[in-house]
Amino acid sequence: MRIKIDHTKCTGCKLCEVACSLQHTEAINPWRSRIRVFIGEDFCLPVIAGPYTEAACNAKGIVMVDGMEMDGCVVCRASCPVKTAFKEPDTAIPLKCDFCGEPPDPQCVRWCEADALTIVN
Amino acid sequence: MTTFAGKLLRIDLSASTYGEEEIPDRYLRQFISARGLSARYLYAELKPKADPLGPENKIIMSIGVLGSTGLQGFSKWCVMSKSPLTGTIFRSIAGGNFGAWIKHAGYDLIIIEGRAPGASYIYLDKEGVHFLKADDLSGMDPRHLQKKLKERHGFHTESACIGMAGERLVRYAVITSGERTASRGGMGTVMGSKNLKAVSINVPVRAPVPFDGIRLKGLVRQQISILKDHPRRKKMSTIGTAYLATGLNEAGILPVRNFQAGSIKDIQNISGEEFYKLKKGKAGCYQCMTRCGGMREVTRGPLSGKQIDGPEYETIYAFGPLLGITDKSFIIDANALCDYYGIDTISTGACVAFACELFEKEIISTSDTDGLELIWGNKSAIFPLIEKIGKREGIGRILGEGVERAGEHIGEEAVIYSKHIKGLEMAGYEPRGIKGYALSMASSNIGGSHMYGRPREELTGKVDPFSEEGKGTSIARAQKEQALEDSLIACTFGNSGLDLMMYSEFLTSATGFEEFGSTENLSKIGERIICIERCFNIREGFGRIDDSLPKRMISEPLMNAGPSTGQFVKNIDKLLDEYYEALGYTHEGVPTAEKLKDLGIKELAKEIIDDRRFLAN
Repeated sequence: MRIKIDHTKCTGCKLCEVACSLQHTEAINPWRSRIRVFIGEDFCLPVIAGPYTEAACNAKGIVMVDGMEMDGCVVCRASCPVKTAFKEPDTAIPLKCDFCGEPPDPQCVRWCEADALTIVN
Repeated sequence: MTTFAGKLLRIDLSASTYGEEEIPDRYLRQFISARGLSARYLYAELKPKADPLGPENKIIMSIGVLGSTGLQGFSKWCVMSKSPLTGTIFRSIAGGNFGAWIKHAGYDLIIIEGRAPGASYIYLDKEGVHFLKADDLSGMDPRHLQKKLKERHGFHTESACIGMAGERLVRYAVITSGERTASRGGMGTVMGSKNLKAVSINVPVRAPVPFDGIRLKGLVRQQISILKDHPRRKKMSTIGTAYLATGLNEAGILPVRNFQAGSIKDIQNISGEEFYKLKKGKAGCYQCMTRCGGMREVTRGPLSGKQIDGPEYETIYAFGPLLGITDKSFIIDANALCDYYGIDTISTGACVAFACELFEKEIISTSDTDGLELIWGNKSAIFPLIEKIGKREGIGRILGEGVERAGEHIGEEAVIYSKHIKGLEMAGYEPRGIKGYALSMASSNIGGSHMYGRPREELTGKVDPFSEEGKGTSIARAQKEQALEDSLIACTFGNSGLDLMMYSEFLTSATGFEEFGSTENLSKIGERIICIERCFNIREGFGRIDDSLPKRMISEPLMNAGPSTGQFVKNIDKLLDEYYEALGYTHEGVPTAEKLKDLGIKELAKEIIDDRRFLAN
């Protein structure tokens, strides 16, 4: 099972960050959310936290998303030593999406207004 | 724990020093945050008759108590200062991310005073405030400036900045943050007069910890589910405020050609649906799911080929019907031009309309307008005129002073054509066809603003808009509610379907202050805020005589206005009497000593009671 992201539908409202934070944390803080929306000049890109990697990449790659050149570090799902996203801001403990428990009911998918997030089996 | 930061940051530009201060608990209980708290500080700290563009004036930037808590549509920010346009106290509210960043930095208010010796900007990070030189940033437009500051200080930086017009002291310059502006009242001009180009903040996101986190989380869930299916919010989220134009035109309260008429023929060209077709993307504020802004492409001017957020209804009005224009791409281009220079679209449109009417009445000619043929709807002349205002060149020097001063400068015959209240150009509602708005704008402490108490019942048709009965009481209530909403800051667009009861629940669970649980107390807080603002204005010499409408509104019947044809404000005095009575003011519009005591601000507003001049006249 995975959460499919259609970044062309994302409006950048960041409600998913709030929803995730609602589920997992005491106070609503988007930096403690397991999903983050990165907003550039003309795109919004939701990224969901994946597994933790112990080592940082050696090289920084450029990834093509719909013909746009993007910093691979932004698109990468991993919580890694060099990235600030997907870590508890105070303790730096890595965060990972857990599909909101068992049975899976991801809050981000539930609250997404634009249908940019969908569950695929 | 509470979502109040409980601290303010005071920055003195003259001495390049800064310091933190505690905000006493009782201020928060009396005035909550944002507009209320800023008004309290400005009243207590600003000397009467201070020069709005002098170093003695202060700018107060603030964020509401519910900002960045996860509640949707509460993260706007408020600027308060003495306005160079009106000379009254003034609050302007803007969206974007900047407000939340103030909160993350750990402050409720940022008070900026003094004047920097040279062009400078402020950068605030974890280590504190840095006073930096801005010589290389002079003349830069807000969009590029923000991009440059992001490059310089990191991607996470948010800035509130001014454009060229602010530096050159056009009296209605704006403060821009992201795609949003604190538009009205010349807040950017005050910033420009302090040689302050921008305020940048780059701090980690530290969300405030609420008093009762579990309950607040439940409320956030509840709020989101209410908003999700609310029809008005859905409309805001798709079409945005642009949908208003058609409805107002039908009701005959869409000001046309400098308030000569109340409706225009080709309205279908600039309807909300037409603008929706041009929408390329969405824009909005921090922690708001509504995203009411629409990105549209610009075809002309310095931002040509780029996308801007807008136009909102008020911009459509100011560059459309008010100038006799029904061309949607012109409205977008004019909006972009205003964004580029950093000027208020409503005031700019009103100043251009004023010039056009003078041209029509042959009070000014092409020799005064630098050769521009200012005929109604002449887009090729109006576009350069906006440029001139933005750069403050030629005729733009006069028009950049606002319609009140421009009228006085040109001469007596011009004064009757300047449409303003207390110096602030009027917003896009024809007061003659909606009497509640007439009173709301006339009595407003900040001048002709559309956001100082919206007569919602009249706009939705529940109450007869032409009747002058009972409007005093209903407007007093609307203004109180608006004052409270501005103190939270609850966005009018994003928060459809919420009521006072809901706000009170948000407040108690976020702050833990029991007294916010009573709606009577909340409405009293609203009353207190209007009252302290009025005390400020009285101290500046404003009185009943200033609570009036332009002459055309009270003498000339409205023409070509569909159902509103023939309407005018017959008895503004009666409306005012009722309004003053509802708020406990004297016949002259001064709060009585009993009222001040009842509101608990007798000590604060001692000057008003002590100085007999205020009560005598």
